[in-house]
This record gives sequence, structure tokens and C-alpha cells, in this order.
Amino acid sequence: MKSFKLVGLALLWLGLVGKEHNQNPLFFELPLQIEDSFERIEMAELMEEGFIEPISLALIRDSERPLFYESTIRTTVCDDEICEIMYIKLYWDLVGDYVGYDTVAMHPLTKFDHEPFTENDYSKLHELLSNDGSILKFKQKSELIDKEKIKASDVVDGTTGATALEIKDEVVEGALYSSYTLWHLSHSGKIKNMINDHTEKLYNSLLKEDFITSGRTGYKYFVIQRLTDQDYISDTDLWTDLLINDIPLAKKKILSSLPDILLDKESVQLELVTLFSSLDVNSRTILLNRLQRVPIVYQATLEELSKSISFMNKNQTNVFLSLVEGKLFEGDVLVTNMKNAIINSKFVYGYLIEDFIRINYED
Amino acid sequence: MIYRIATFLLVSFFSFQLSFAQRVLIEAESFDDPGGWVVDPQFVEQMGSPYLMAHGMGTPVANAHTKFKLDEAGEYHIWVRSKNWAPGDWEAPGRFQVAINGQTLPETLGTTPGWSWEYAGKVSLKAGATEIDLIDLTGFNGRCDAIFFSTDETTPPRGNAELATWRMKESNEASSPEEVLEFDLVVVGGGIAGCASAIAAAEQGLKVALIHDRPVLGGNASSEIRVHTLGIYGHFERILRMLDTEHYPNGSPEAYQDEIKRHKNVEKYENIHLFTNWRAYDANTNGNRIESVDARHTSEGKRIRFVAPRFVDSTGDGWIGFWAGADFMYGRESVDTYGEAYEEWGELWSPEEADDFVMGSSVLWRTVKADASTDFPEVPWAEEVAQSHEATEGTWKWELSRLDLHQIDDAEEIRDHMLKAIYGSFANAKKTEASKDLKFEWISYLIGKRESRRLVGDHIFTFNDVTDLRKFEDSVVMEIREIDVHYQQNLTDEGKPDFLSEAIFYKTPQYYIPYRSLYSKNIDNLFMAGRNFSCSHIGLGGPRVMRTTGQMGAAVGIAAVICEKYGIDPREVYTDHLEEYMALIKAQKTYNTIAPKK
Repeated sequence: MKSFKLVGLALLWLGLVGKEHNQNPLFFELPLQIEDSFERIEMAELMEEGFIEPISLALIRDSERPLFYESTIRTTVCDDEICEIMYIKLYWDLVGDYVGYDTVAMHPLTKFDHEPFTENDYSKLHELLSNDGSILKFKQKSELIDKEKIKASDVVDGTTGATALEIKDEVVEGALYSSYTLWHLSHSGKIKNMINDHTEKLYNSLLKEDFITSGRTGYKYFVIQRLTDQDYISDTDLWTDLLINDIPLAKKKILSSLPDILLDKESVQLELVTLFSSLDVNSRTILLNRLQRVPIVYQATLEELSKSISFMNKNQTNVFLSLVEGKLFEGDVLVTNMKNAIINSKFVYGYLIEDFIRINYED
Repeated sequence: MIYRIATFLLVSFFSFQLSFAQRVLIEAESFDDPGGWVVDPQFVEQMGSPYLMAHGMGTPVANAHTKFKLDEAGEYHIWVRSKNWAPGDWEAPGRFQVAINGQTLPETLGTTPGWSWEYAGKVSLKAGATEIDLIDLTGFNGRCDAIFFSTDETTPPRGNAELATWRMKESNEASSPEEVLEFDLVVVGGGIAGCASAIAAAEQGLKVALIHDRPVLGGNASSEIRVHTLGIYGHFERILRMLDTEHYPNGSPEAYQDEIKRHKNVEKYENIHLFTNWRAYDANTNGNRIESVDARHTSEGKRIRFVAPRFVDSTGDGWIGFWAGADFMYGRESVDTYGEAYEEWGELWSPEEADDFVMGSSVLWRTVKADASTDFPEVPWAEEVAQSHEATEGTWKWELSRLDLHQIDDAEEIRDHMLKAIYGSFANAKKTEASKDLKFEWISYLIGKRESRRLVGDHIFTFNDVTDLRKFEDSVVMEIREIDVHYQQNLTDEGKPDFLSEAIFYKTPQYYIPYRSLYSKNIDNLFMAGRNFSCSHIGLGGPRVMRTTGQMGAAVGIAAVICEKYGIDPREVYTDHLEEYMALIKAQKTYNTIAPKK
């Protein structure tokens, strides 16, 4: 165990070569509160193919809660012929998402021609590592170089046209293999799993509250995945807030997980359909599909939902029409809203409603 | 040229008087000269017919033109079946007009949401030769399914079922095809899997019908869609090299070269009877057996009944199996259905509850530098999709899957959504200095599907077959490509356009697909090859690429030979003749005897 100082927020830049070990990381994107000392707990070791020694993962925590994970890595970076040793420290948040990196004292990052990284190179590397959809994800190491363009004089690590064109913009110039190796480490599924498993053991109400208020997508999703039926029943504010503010994947999870007993209630149906127009297109579909499966869709629910017809696409309109079938009475709000939808020039599926009324109520 | 025109005398009574209505139905896809319009048969099962589309990429296309003989003079009401494919508070993008005998009717068509009969006007016509022109006004995908002339004022029906009956009646069409042809094997779908299947069977002497609804072979690898082939050759390098592509960027016109190679190689087999531009529309069964498949020419409307002891469904969408009543799957199975968790990717990989978030369809496109600055029209109807996204080319990431959209039932809407994405993103890019010289070189109007129906076989290939590195006694397909499934980017970032996807990879050394995944569990004489083979959603993730599906095709082609030799069904190849079958599969690498060639 050892303690060290971590100060401040993201994107810190403090000079490079020979910097002291316990200074602020070069890049670190967790908005941590300033603390005098953090505790470092060795967590696990992991051996990856091609590594010269196991990767040691450590949890950093303060006196109350876990904060993040880190690993100081010594690995070889090789092309077909030459290998070099690279030292680097990587940081992940509590659910295994990359949040930053740092150099190791006396070991600045270098390119394959032994030139040290420039300030821009360091920034570019962080930008690359922060991109979980990088093209490097799809590439085998053998695909990094466009072999047909290599000439004898070319530097093999791709400062020339030898780097496959589609990759060139995404990597640190002259450090192709380092970029590749580090991206795959930062986004290693094994590491993410180990971190999640470890955080799971530490998960408690304090951490849950921290995660909910963190503003971090991954943290909130971690909580959502662990909500029980009882959580949904007892904490409506929590899931409705997430339903309004979180990413579509989280909304999908919440709408799919809402217990039937909750969805059978008129108040809950109303709460949900009131949100309809603010939901993303897929969440709207899930909500409509769930309403199709409940025993009773209340008239008040349908009336509220009918205010949002103009936000429905073709198939959603058809589901809505299946919900109102047999429940239309001349003069009520539902019928009025449907008629308004037909003449709304911004709603393009009015013809579906017209056809529906003609077939079901006129023919 | 064959016209699908029928004239009827219909009797109706008005105030005790007898009157006669003259009626003529002209199918647009049967026009003598489509001009710059293209025949689009992709959505027949959803909207009822192939249609003509003005795919001008923003520049109005040349008129489509035809001539027919009108039996009786009279005052004719004219309806055009069309669709406003991007309805909203703006001028419809696909507007066009109709001219009769050189006289342009005043109504602008292509303006009504949903497929419907738009009234084009009333014209006084003489009996005899009558000419029709379709006049494209925009270059933005106006579409015309049919034109109906009637002295009666009754609008033709709109609903699909009613319309189908009406159309048969107006066309005076019999319930079954006029022509019947017999083969040893009928392969439906001329993608890489179907072509490989036809070659493998033909090389061993089978008389094969290869039915394909496009003018060119290759499916997603064709010059019309332009996806390069991926995967390994397995046992079938010799066959697949006749069909595959180089590893050019997706969308590259280099696809034409490989297409020429492909056609040359397929057409050299005398016992492959190639039916391009024929689209199957039904499978006729007796019990659990398919007796024949009916197909219709995509522009001429002629029909043929294909009779055979065995059939290969390489339609991609599993249509033959679907019509025959084969068990099939659609959508993403829940993670527990087959135990397909990939822990770090959770819901994005395999959902807790089954859903329809399958891998989506793509529409590829390219731009080219013009000699000088070029203009591009305003496309307000595309803005709601493209938003502020700028792009000058499409990649595989241009993909659409949405929970409310079915990859088969809503395929036209998916294609149209992608067209909006393309036009809108390009219009945004055109506002920048860097793109002022760019113009469209090519936009596919065919959607490239990744996933649709999967027919159920005796074995369902799943993720576990990959993770467990399972080898089977009937391993006929092998692959080293990673399992690669996609999700929409806007699931994790709502700010992203809804037409862009992301991939998740599971890397693996090598995996195998058993023969038992390549024939139907409940239709006794049906093989399947291609993306509609028997697999889970995740199982499809790796082997959906075209060298791998080509391996499937070749494997079932050879199985059909064993079936023919012993007069057996596909399952019995596994149960009774596996050794002989596998020996024949393994011999393919060095196989030198080719069936009679032209």
C-alpha cells in the first residue's frame, strides 16, 4: 500500500520527461474531490498474450469509497522484426471505462524512430484511447500496414504512406504499434470484466448514490442493471429521472424491466405516456409494446397518449391504433386528438388513422 | 414485349340503363423503355409489385415510355399508383407527371403518403395506339407502380389484400403459372451462397435452376450493392474464387470486374439454367415437402413454376422456407435462450429479454470530384434524418436497425430512411468549401441486409459453438473471422445520427458450422445457405460474410448430389451417408472434374 496525491480534474498537462512519479497524471478525466491521500490496493493480475509480465490491477480509494483503478504496465511493442519496451500507467473508472494515462518516471513515450512524443502526440494518444469505437478495434495487427505501399526506405511504424490510409488519422504518427497496443489494453474486455466484478463486491448504498449523481453514463447503467422489482416499486423518482435524462440504452433497460405490477397501475401508465414525446424512438416502441401486453390500458392513459400521436412513426401509429380499437366514442378527447392528428400537416401518418376509422367505425 | 394489360367490360346499372366500363391496367415495370427509371422489385411482398423509380441522385432522369393499344375510344379517368416516400411539411421529393400521347396531365404525382392510387386526370382518348410517358421532376426517387385507365370513376382499391385480388382480375391472370419447368435442384437467390450451391451441384451433373430477382449475380457482392467478400474459403477455394471479390473498399466500382468474373464462371456451366430477373413469390407444398416454387419475371410479369425434388433457399430473407411453413427465427434471442453472454458488452451483445434489434441494413454510396463546382438542391425532407451530419461517402457503418422496423416488412422504409440520410448528409457537406466540387457518383437503391429470417435446422449454430471451439463430424463450413455483431450508435449516445452503427468483436481462432444447420428441421426437402441458415442472432455474427455463406452454398450443392444419387432427403445425408458426403466435401480442394461446359 502506498499513498500519493491526485489533484484536480481532467486534461492536466505538466511537462513530460523525467517527471516525478507521484505528480498528477497527464490525462485523467474523473472529477475527483481533492484528497490528501488515497489508498492503493492491489487487486489482481492478468496475463495478456504477448506481454512480458502480468498486468497488475490496483484499486485506488479514499477513506470512504473506491475511486478508480490503475495499472502500471511494462510491455513490448513489436512490429514484424523489432521490439521495444514501453512503460505506461493506465486509469479506468469503477466500471472499467478508460479515463486517462500517465507516463512512468524516466520513461517518456517514444516513437519507433526513438524520437520522443511531442505534446501533440500525448494529446492525440489520449484522444485515441478515449474513442471506444476506434477503427483499431476492427483491425488485426497484420492489417495495420498497407504492405503493398511499403518500400525499403519506409519507416516501418508508419510515418509514411505505409500506414493503411483509414487508420492513419486515428493513431499517433510514427507510433502505430504503440497506439494499437495501448488501445486494445485500455479497452480490454478482460480488464473491464475484472473491474466490474471487483466493483460489484464493493457496491453498497453509498456507492449507488455516488453513481446515480455522478453524471457518468457507465456508472448510472451499472446501477440500472442492478435495480430489483422492489427498487422500481419503492423508488419511482429514481427510475423516472433516469428515464428522462439517461441514454437510450438505459431507457430501454428500464422500460423492459418495469415490473408488471407497476405497469398495471393507472398512475404509472399516465406517468409513462406523459413522457412519450420526450423519449427516443426505440424507447417509444418499447413503451407501446409493453402497453400492448398489460391487461388494461386505461382510458386516461390512451387520452394522454393520444396527445403525442404526431410523434409516432408508422408502426408506432399502428400499435396505438390497436390499443384504441373498440375504445373510441364520438366526442371524447381520444377521438378529438385523433382527428386533430389527421389534419396536422406535420404528422404524415394521418392516412393510417383515416383507414382505421373507415374500416372499424364506418364500413 | 409483353404487356400486362387487360381490358374488361364491366356491367353496371344506372337507372335501368346498361353501361360498359373500359379498363386498362399498365404495370410500370413493363414499360417498353424505362428511360432513366429503374425497376425496383425489392418490396413486392409488402406493397404488391415491382415498380419504376426515378433514381437520379438529385438530377431528373429521362422519361420512361411505353405504348399500348386501347380497344375503345372514350373519356378515361387515369390513376397512378405511387407514394410520397418522404411526406412532411415540404414539397414531396419524388414528384413526377404523366403524359398521354404527348399531352402532359396537370396533376403532380408522388405526393400522397403511403402507396395509393393518385388521380392523374381525365383524358379523351381515341382507340388504337396510346403512348404513356413518365416525366420525372426531381431526380429524387419518384416511384410509379402502375397506371390505370377507366371510363368508370371508381378508384382502384388501396389495401394490399384487396389490391392483389383486383390486380389479378384486371390482369386476367390465372391462379397458377403458365409454364412448368423441371430440374434436379432449384436454387432460389443468386447471391454468393446461391451461386456456389448451383456450381457445386452442377459440377456433379445435376440440372440446376438458379433463380435470381436481379439482372446480375452476387447479391450483396454485386455491382448493385458492392460489399466486398470476407471470410475464408474452407474446403471450397476453387469454387469460391470463381465468385468472390477483391478486398476493395465497400462501394467501389471495382465490384464490376468481379461481377464479370462471376457471371462468366456461372454461365459456363451448361446445366446451370440461369433465371435472372425472376423473383420467386410462392412455394407449393404437399405435407412437409415443397413440390414447386413459382416465380415471376420482374418486368415482363410472366410466370414459371419450377418443379424439383429439392430446393435451396438462398434468398437471404428465407422466403422459400417462410412460404413453405418452415420453422424460422427473427430478432435477438434473450441472453439465456442459448447462453450467449459476452459479459463486458452485456445488453448490446445479447439482451436480457428477446427483442428485434437485429443487425441492420446498409445502403452504400460514393461521390466523385467534378471538373468544377457543382450545385446540389435543397433537401428539407432529409433534414430530420441527417440533421447536421456531414458526409461524402458511405461505409458499412451506414446501417439502420430500429425496434419498430422489421428488416423484411419495413425494408422500403429502411431504404428510404437511408436515402434521406445520404442526401441530407451530402447536402450538409456541400455547404463546405472542401466539398464544392463533389457530386454523387453512385448510390445503391438496393438495401444490403445483414440479418433477417433464419430458418431452423436440426442444429442451431450459436455463440457456444464458437467459444467452445466445437468440431462436428459434419463440419462442412469453417471460419476464423471474429463474431461481429452491430448496434446503433445512438443507443449509447443520443446525439449520434440514427443511421450509424458500431460493431462488437469476439475474436476466435477457428470455428465450424455443421451440415445440420443447412437444411430445414421441418420441411423435408429444403436446404438453406446464406444469412438465412440455422443460427442464433449471435451465431450469425461471424459467418454472415460472403465467403462463409459461399461455403454453405457449396456444401448444400454437394449434399444435393448425394440426395439425388440415393433418392433421399437432406437429413438422410447426415444420418446415412455422412462418410461419403464428407469425403466429397474434402475432395473439393483437389477436385478437377468439371461438368459439361458450354
